[in-house]
Amino acid sequence: MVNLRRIFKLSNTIAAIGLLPNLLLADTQSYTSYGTIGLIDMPTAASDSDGRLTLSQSGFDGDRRTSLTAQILPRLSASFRYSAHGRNGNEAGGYSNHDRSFDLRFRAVDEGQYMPAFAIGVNDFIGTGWYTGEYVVGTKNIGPVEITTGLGFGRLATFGGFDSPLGQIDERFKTRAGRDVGVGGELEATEWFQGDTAAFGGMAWHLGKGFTAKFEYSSDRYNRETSYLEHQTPWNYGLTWNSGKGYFLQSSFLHGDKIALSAHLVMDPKDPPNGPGRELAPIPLRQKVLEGSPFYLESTNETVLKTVLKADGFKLTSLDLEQNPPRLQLVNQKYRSTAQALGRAARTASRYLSDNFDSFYIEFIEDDLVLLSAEINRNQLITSVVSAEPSENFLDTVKFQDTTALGFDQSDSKKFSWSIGPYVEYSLFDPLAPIRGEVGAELFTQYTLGSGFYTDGRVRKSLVGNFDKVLRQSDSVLPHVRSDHDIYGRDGDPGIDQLTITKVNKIMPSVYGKLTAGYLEKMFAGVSGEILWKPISSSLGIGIELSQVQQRNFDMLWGLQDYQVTTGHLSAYYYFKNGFMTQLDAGQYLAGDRGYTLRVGRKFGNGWNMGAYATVTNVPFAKFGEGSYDKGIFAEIPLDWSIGSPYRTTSKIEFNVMTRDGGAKLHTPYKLHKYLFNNDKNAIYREAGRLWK
Amino acid sequence: MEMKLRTRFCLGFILLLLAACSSKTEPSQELLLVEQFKSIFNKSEVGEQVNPRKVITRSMIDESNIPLVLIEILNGDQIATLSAFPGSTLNEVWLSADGRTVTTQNGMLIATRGMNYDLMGADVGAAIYSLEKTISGKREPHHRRLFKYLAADNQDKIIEFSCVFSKESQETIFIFEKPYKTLRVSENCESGGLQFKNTYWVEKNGMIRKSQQWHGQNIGLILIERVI
Repeated sequence: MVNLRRIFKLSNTIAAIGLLPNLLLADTQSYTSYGTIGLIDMPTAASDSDGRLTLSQSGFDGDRRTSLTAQILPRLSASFRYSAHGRNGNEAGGYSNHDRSFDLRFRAVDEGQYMPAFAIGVNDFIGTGWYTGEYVVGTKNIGPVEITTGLGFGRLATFGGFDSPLGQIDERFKTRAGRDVGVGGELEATEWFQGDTAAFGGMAWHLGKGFTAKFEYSSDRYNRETSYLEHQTPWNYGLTWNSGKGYFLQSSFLHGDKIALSAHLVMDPKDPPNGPGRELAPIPLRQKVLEGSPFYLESTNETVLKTVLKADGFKLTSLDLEQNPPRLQLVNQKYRSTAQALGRAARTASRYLSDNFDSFYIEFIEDDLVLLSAEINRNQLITSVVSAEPSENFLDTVKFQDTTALGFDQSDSKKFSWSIGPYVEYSLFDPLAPIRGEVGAELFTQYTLGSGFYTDGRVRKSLVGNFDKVLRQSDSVLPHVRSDHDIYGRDGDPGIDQLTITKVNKIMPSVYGKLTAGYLEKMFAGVSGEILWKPISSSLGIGIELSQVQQRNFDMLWGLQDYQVTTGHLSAYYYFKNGFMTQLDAGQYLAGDRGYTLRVGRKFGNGWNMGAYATVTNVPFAKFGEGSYDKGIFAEIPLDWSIGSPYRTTSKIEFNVMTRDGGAKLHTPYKLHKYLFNNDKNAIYREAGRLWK
Repeated sequence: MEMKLRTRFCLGFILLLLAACSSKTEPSQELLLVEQFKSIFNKSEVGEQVNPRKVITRSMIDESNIPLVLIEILNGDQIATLSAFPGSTLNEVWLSADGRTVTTQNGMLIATRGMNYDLMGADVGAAIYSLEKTISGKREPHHRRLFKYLAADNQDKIIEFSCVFSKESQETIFIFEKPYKTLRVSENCESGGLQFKNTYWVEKNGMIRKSQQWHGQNIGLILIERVI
């Protein structure tokens, strides 16, 4: 049996990139060689459309930049960049240096009829600082022409620099101290907007048919690139073409010396490539009739109810008609959107349930946990289903509640299940091999011992890839809890990724528990317990996870190494109504270090999620090694958004900037918060419009 | 003869709804409907599109009594017959062979499902009232219409239009060769910069026999002909 979900998971990443949205040709923005909105190298004050994600590749002889830029909020954008510099070097691709950089830009003032837009930005503000610079910039559109002028600092003041006017305010702004980069990764705020400043500016002229001509006066002297770029003039020229299909191409002539090329791939959460959804129509509702009418349904049509639910992607695990209101417990096998699943299940239920009931409960079950319980009033349902009233008005009449009652019919559960599917693993940003990865086959088996009681096994065999070489021995002075991943890759093929016995349970109506033991993940075995308090209507969740683990042998079979550790965290989760999901963990990490992890993500109504995390522990930055502390970015793109049909799969991309041993967390199966925050009241309100789809 | 007609409908993929080929009562109809839904779910592609105007004849229609509409997306190439959803429904729900539904209230379009860019809901109460008055010769002031769509962030997008009816002329229309005496009425609507014009061909008994109604910005106008 080939597991379709796995194939979809794999194809989702491809689909997300392949089925790009039809961006309007009228889109007037274009991108710099740094992947940000702007001219050629110089920024403008414009922002991208809210939520947009841009993947850029640009380069010229001796220089490559790969950037990922996200418009996190309407005014705030962030970029992550991996760049390579130099010629005839010892690192991958013959470069002599690879560098990571982060940028932020904030649009402080919107463009008005006469007023230009103004933005402020900091480039490469964490780490070794190859591109470090700051700027304030103003941009005004006049017809098809966009005019920009700004003041740069740092790298953006290396040509035509003069004494900063800020020096008049405070002596400290007059000089810019050299950066003490250490091992990189630290926030380098102390030098922002200090030292000389320089003016830059330029013009973009939208020619029509997607073409934009640009020229700019650059205040960047390319001092760090003198070995391969001869700076002859501050003027750069470029031509951009917007395909209208989600990608941009740009060529430019840099400083009278080099021809540079860039390509930008744009994904917009607000522009699903295949429309809002091509699922079949749901079952229409019946008219409400009085007792005595020939259409009055005296008894529930159980067979039809079960069959229609099944055809629509729901498994009815229990139906309690003895109580009033009756209770339907369902496994949602098809819809990522819980709102949509609730709306469809409610309509089918209402059509086939006896007219003796005025309301009924829809409950969603996953791994034998009741995750959602909603009491639906049939009259409200009838009034709302094709009305033009806001969908939230109906949701306000739904009673969400916490419940433990599981009417699960054991005879119906499959004891043993298995699947074989492809998997993809990758590791990025190693200077010796910036892209490493493998594709292989994964066998997953599950045996159900009882309600919420499972044994799971996962074995992987690599088929294609370059994880089989150890590029370097770890130099970490901490216990090698993660930095030996190369050796696991080489020796653990095939390997047992997971072999666990797990019990998940609802301890109280809003308290969930999990106990799992065995080979928890590829590098650690042991026992782990988790308890999470999360009422369905609450935005707050509080959990604790505690594990005692021992490091596994590199061959990823049965043996263990000597290293043992107790690891665990107290976690607080909070969902802000504007879509921000935050998680703060405090506790002890795998290397025995203690500290905090903050994870912030923005959840969009259509299932997109993007954000960043950082972990700081009591390991001194120097001891941590390159990067100083653990940090990374992540994005989740749901498959239903990409292909326009309902699927539960979401493709997840996570870059941790550098895999080191400090701040490393244990990966355990059946993470409780993932179930709960995707099936709660907030998750339904977030996608309220999809209720009637 | 009736059976023959029904068989041809089924085989011709014009009326795939099996329930329509059955005379059985509610529960069995629902089961057949389930089978129909399952077959649609399991089918990767709907068979070659057949233009019902070329397949259905007046004699077939005359011998059938299943409520049927013909729907055409005017700025696309999609045309299909949809039959009344079996059993009780709120408003009139029309089901296509490939699992889409169109819901009308007294002949006025209020919702679609399964059409990707669906019309999620509409408030046409004032329009129905004003149309009645307009037909009976009264000059009606502007009325309000509400349309609800699904925005890309899965929230509602509700648009309010201000509309006015105008009586145009008496017109005899032909639906599969059969003449119907109708009154043509138009409805002009406006919201911000957005405008559309609906046209209705209304019979003396108040039934909208044919209409061109605005669905939304993506699909535009759709033609609805009440065949049976």
